[in-house]
This record gives sequence, structure tokens and C-alpha cells, in this order.
Amino acid sequence: MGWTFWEARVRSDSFAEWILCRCTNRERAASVVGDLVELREQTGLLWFWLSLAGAVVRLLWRPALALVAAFYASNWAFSIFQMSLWGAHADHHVTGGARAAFLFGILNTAGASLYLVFVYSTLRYSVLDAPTQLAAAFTLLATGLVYLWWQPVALLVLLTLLVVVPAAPRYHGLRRLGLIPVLTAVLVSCFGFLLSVLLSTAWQKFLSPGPWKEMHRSTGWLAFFLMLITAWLTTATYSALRNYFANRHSLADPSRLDIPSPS
Amino acid sequence: MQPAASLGEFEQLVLLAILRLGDKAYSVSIRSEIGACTSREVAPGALYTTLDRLEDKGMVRSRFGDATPQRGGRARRYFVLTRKGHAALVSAQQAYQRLMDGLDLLGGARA
Repeated sequence: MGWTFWEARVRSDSFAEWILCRCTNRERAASVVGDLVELREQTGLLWFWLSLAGAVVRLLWRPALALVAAFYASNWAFSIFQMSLWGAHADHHVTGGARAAFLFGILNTAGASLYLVFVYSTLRYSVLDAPTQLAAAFTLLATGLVYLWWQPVALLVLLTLLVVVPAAPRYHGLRRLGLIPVLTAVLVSCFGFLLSVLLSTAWQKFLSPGPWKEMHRSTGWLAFFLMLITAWLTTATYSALRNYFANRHSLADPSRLDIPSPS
Repeated sequence: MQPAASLGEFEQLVLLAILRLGDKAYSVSIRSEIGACTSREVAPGALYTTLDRLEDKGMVRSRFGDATPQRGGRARRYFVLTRKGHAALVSAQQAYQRLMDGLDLLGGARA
């Protein structure tokens, strides 16, 4: 038995809502589709779908651009830091055993992760956002540590700043909670990076057991996609936590209470 | 005291429409209010992203109303100005007024 006109309409509305749920939360998606359904009687079906497509593009382009730019920035930072720390031409490259390699490996990965968070947050929420500013400060400090770790005074100053920056008077009360999205995102990114390296290495060993030869092309692609998924998970975690704390801050700040309506 | 946050032209239109509509401000009514006052056809996508941005900046707050049958059982999202949004709007309008002082732009239109 075929669908009736109304059944088809209800199913197409549900499909529209499902599409919008990919780019925003369920309540907002339902509200947007409800608005378009309300206007559809005057404007028609074509307008409904064109408006939906417009809403999807406008909701997605900024996060998508921010994700691509942040992914590129973190990869760039990672390779630059790696060259500075271990490169043959580096003035002060890291020597020592596994412990030093582990410590500087964490610094390298965390620094690149901070670039990911900082670039994403700047493009998505602007440089005026408190968590963006915290991410910017930590990114600068991590860059300083990578380039100046061998100077004891600089190292001491940078490590002190790492503790002092979040305690600055500008970051008081709930604004300091901006630290949580930044640090959680860095943890997710570092863990994802480690997992990507382990899985890619296991794949390479599966393809060509024995001593390391030339990297298989599929290993490169696997590593790329795993890193991209890591970047997406990192930014999604950051956005979710940032929005949660921004909402809490807005509820706690009396300067942001509603003003009475004129009627 | 911190300076009021800056607002774009479309953001000001949206805030003014919300202010005019009072507790009946949701995206369909905001869109038609802007259309009625400015003869401007607003794309729904542009309005949603602007409303989300204003909410991110703490200039408006939203709440969901009851679901209605003519919307397929979907709730409306109502918006209200916050004090911060009101202060930013006043500051932007005062800046326009100061720039308008001494100019007779509206005089010709009234005649």
C-alpha cells in the first residue's frame, strides 16, 4: 500500500530533522524544522528544502573550516617541534634515554594538540572567548618550552607562567572553568595520537612482518584518517565542554540576566 | 567598566526585533518583524546562525516553548535579550546617534 500525502510529509519532515541533527542538537533541529514547517504553507515545498539546505551549510561551514585549519596547524606544529627537538640540524636536540624521549614526546604532542585547540577555538568562537585566550597562552608557553628547554632560567620562567597564567585575575570564578575544556581536549588529542601511532604501526607490521622497511601506502592513509578522527573527537569534546561551561557562566553572571519585555 | 561588545548591522536588527516582540520572539516572528520593518527578506539559515552567535556572546537567551500541531509537534525556541545584549544595543544606537548629530539625513525624507 502506498503512502498518503500526509504520511509522506511527516516522513520528509522527520528526514529533514534527521539531517539537521547531524549539525546541531536534537531540540534545536526540531525547532528549526518546526519553523520551516510553519512557513511551508505560505512558501512551498521547494522553499522548505532550499531553506533547510541553506541552514545546514550555514551551520556547518564554520566548524568544518575550523576543523580543517586546526588539523593542518597541529600537523605543522608537530613536525616543526619534532625537527626542533630531535632534528639533526637543531642547535640543542634532545639526548638521553627513554625517559627524556618520553617527556619530550609528550611535550611535542601536547604542543601540537594546543595548536589544534587554539586554531579551532579562534575560528569557531573568536579570540575574545576566554577559553580561546587560555588556549593561546598555553600554546605560547608550550612553544617557548620546545625552543628554550635547554636554558635553565627560561625553563623556570615558562614553568612558573604555566602555573600563574590560569591564576591571573582576569580568569576568576567560573571563567577559570575554561581550563577544563582546553586541558580535556589536549588529553583526548594526546591519547588519540598515541592510539593512531600504535594502530598504524600494528597495521604496518601486519603487512610486512620483520624489520621495518619502507612504509606501505595504506599505512600512511590509515594514519591520516586516524589523526583526522582524533582531531574531530578533540574539537567535538572541546566544543561540548566549552558550551556547557559557557552556559553555566551565563546563568551565574547577573549582568547577563534577562531584561523585562516591553509589553 | 568594560566597553559594550560590538554588534554587526544584522545583529542589531535581530536584537531590535526581539525587543519589539517581547515574549513572542521566535525565529518566524523575528523574521517577519524584520521583513515588515525593513522590507528585507531574511534567509532562515542566516537568522539561525545569528541567533546562535548572539546566544554564544551572551546577548540573548533562549527557551523552548510547548509543541504545537501546526509545527508537526515541534516546540518553538523563544528568545529574550539579556542585560549584556541590551547594553550592546544601546551603545551601538548611541554611536549612530552621535554620527547623525548635525546631519540632516532624515529631513529630506520627512519633507
